[in-house]
Amino acid sequence: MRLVEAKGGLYVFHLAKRERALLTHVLKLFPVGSGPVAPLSKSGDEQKLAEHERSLAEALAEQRAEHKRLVDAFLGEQGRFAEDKSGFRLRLTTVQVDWLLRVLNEVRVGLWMKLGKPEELAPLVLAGQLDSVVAMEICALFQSRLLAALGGESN
Amino acid sequence: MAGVIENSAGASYLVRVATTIEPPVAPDIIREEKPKPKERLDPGFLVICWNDPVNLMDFVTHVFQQVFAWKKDKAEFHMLQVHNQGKSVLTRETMERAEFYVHELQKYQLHATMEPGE
Repeated sequence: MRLVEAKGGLYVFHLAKRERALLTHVLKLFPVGSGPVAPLSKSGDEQKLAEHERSLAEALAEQRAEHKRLVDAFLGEQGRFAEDKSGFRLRLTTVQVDWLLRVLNEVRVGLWMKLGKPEELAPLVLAGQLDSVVAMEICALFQSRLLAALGGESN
Repeated sequence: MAGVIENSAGASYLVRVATTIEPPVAPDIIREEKPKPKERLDPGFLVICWNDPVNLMDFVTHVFQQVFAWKKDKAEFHMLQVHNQGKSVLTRETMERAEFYVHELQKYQLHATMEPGE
C-alpha cells in the first residue's frame, strides 16, 4: 500500500491485489474485544466510580456497533476499491483515514488482549498463536502507511 | 521688612490650615481578602496515559493531536514521556471533563485513566 496522492484532505492509495485481500481479512476480524482496554481509574473510589465505569463500557460498546456497521459498508461499497492495471486505488478523506486507523488499532489491541497482553510477540509464534500475531502485524503495517500519509500531508 | 511680614502671615495661615484639615476620625482600614490557600481549591482529576507494548508510537501521537487538538511537537513530547517514563499526565480537569477525555482516549484503545489530583 503506497500513497499516490494527498491533496486538500483527500488521500489516494494504491494497493496490490494481495494487499487488498489482507486489508479485507483484518477488517473482517472486527470486533475482536468487548470491554474497555483499562479501567476508568486506578485509584479512585470504586463504589463512586462504578456508575462511571458502566458509562465507559456503554460508550465503547456503542462505538463498536457503529464501527462494525461502517466496516460492513466499507467492504461492501461498490467502487470503494477502484481496480487499475496493477491492483486497486483507495480514496480516503482525512476523517476516513482516522476511522480506519481506529478500526485497525482496535483489531490489533483486541488480539493483543486476547493473547493475554504479552510484552513480546515472538514467543507466541512458537506457542501456536501465529494467526493472531500475523494479523496484528498486518494491522500495524497498514496503520504505519496511513500515519505516514497523514504526517506527510501535515509537514 | 516686607519679607518678614510676608513670612509671618504665611506661617500663621499654614497653622490655621493644618488645624482645619486634620481629620477628626481616623479612616477605616479596608483589608483585601487574601486568596484562598491552594489546598482549599478543588484538586480535580488528572488524565493519565500509561505505556503499553502494543500501541504504535506514531499512533499515540496522532491520538493526542486528535483528542486535545495539540500541535505535533506537544503530542510527541507526551508520547515520548509515556514511552520513556511509563506514563504522562496529559491534563488536569474537573471530573466531567476528565471522564470525557478518558472516554475519547480509550475509544482509540489507549491505556488512559483519570486519577484524583493531589
